[in-house]
Amino acid sequence: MRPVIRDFFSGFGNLFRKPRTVVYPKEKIIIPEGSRGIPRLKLDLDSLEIICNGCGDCQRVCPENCIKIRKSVDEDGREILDEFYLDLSKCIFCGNCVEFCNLDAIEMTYRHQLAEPDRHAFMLEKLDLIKQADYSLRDFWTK
Amino acid sequence: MMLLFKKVIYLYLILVINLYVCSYLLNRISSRFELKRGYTIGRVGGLGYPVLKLFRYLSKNDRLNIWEILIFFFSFFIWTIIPFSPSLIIIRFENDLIIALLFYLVLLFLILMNASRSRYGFVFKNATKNILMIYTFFMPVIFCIAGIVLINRTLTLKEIVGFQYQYWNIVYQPLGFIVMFTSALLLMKLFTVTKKSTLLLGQDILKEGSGFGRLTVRISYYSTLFFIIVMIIILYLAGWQNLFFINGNIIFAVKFYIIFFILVLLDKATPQLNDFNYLVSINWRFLIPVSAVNFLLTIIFFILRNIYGII
Repeated sequence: MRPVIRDFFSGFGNLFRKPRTVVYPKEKIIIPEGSRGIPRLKLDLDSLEIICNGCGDCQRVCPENCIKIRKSVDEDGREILDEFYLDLSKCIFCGNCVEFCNLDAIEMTYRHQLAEPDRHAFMLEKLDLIKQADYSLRDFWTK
Repeated sequence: MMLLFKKVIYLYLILVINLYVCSYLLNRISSRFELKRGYTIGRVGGLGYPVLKLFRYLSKNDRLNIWEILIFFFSFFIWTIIPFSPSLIIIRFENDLIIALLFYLVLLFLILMNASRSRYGFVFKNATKNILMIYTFFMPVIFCIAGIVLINRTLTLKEIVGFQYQYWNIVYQPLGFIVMFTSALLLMKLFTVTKKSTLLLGQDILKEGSGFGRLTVRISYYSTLFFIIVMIIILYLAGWQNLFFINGNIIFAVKFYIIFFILVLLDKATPQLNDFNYLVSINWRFLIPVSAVNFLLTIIFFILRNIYGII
């Protein structure tokens, strides 16, 4: 009987408290700091080139095998990144790729709304991953 | 004739407004209880929610059966006997308490018949269990009503309210009130008015009975719930008797919504009762013994006062 009375009064108190849920399309939730959204490829701010050299560490540590990398050699004999594919339908946003990257070339953004009508849209290429820089600010979705 | 017509219009207006308000309150209270916002599709704080719900039912194509038509008429017809105010009685009987209880049982029987024509075995099984359980909760209610009848020595609802001008019956029969209230709460739980449940009669809303027929069944649930609440108010809480300087009709509405509000909150605070053995144990270990003891005490009091003249 005691839990019923306790729940009755706590529920009665809830009627005067602010609801925790939001009306989704109109109001947006404030995302906690450090949340992991879609990864992005960072650019070198001086040369505006991709920092990643295609070493393939992230591909090896990925538990879901959702990263595919193809690298090539440029005229100077340096290894450069040729293609970078990320399958978002497989990605579990574990953040291993960010953690193991020696060059600190990948970063997690705050983009979390990923509904798409076409499943092929989840296959992100190099250019798509560079464009994710727009979502790296936390308060973007709260505006 | 015009007066009768006017009364019918008033009665149905009260019922429709009541259905609207209760549907709205259920949506708001049951969601805010869990710190949720509830449906706000109707805008203006979800005020249009009951109307939208009505249109959602009506938009589905459905073939009515005879039981659903009977339920629809009966769930409104039951209110012709029970008075909301001293003048708002359409059919007058001398023993209207018995007739009202009979109508209530018939309404439950019609709901049972409607569920029994289901093509799905589990719907029939659960519905039969539910209705029979509600019938068993009727046994302690009968004991309580018998106690009230012994005290007031009348079977007319209007006279029972009249006898409570000085002291409400809840003063004489607190145990009876508790039993009636508990049985109303369990009835509400069994009909699962506040939430969707696997025990719900028409829980297969996508499979069958999604249109007007489903709406009639829903109205009949509300009707039975209103019946029990109105009976509690008339029998124990002095019905439409004026309280100090406040009009009796307003007091009646206030009592109705307070009881409804407490019932909804208690319904949300108690766990979902899926176990029939547990329900049976509530009935046999609490409701029936308490109501029987209450009835026996009332009989002893009645004999001592009226036959031997001791008290």
